Amino acid sequence: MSTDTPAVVRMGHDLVRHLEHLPGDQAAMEIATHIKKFWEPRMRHELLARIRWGDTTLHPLLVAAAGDLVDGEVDRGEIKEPSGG
Amino acid sequence: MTPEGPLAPPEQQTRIARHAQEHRRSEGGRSLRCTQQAEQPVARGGGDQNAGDGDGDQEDATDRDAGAAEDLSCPGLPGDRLDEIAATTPTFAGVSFARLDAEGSMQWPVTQAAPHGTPTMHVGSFVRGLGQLTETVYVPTTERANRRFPLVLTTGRILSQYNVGAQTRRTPNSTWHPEDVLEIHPSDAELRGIVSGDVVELSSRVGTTRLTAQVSDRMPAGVVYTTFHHPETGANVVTTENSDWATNCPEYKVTAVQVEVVTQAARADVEAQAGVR
Repeated sequence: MSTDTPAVVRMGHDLVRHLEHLPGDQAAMEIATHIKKFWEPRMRHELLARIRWGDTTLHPLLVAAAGDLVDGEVDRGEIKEPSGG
Repeated sequence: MTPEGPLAPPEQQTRIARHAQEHRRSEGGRSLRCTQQAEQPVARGGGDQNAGDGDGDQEDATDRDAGAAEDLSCPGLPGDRLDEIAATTPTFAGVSFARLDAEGSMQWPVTQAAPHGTPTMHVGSFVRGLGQLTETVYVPTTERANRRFPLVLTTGRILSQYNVGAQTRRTPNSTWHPEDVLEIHPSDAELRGIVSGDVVELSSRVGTTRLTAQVSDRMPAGVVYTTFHHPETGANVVTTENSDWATNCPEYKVTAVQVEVVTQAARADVEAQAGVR
């Protein structure tokens, strides 16, 4: 992938590549969960904005996963699963 | 700098001792507490470097004045920044300057469920249960060497410096590692007319930096290596933005690069050293 690819697209497609093997709706759910937990709000905002603009380069599974995201929302669920420090 | 020894008033010394005691008996890496401000921020312009040297030529004075005029302060108070962190980082949700002053020290997660912090993270079982193993696909790097960038740069650490050196670079450890150098195989060096001590330009598709070369049998042909303990090395200027999907750990081990001589070391000195060996 080109180094010109926007980071959120590159990283979103990395998630698709690693999680698309999961059955049914689980792949989209796991992708959304990862983004909620580990992407900072500005990255989520950019991904959602690209979907609103109709970015045709986005993988359909990434677009489906983003349907569960809320702009500006912070995932308090990480409290139970801290991410190191 | 933390208030220690005779610099701190007695009540602070008591508080520090209490913190130290708590720190020892708990998981110290998660400890949060306030320390007193060490000094006012210094504006850009090298004032710190020139302070007290007494010569103060015109150029330095102008730089200092320009730096002093520049407002480098963050908007709002430091407590506002901590509030912002608490608002966006779930494990710090209950942290504020007021809470730290009241509690003295807390260990994250500090949440509604654990308003005084979490001195012990795992009690009875691990917070997320047993280890979870996940199958992942192998993803080869997209970085490619070619005629323009024929070598592969890999970066790493050495024992005497810690990461970017913030905790070790100003210590006597730097006696062992005063500078990051670029290690290069003798064949690759000879092809480029490089000898140890030359300043070389290290270029990738992303950026360029300069390092002192060290010809080394430790490197296989085609691979060059440097550490990143000193900021002037600029290793991050050269490495790519590739990262892994799960942790976003950057791909610091694979960057296609080229190396060229910028400044030759004194060849007579080099040859003399070679003769000694």
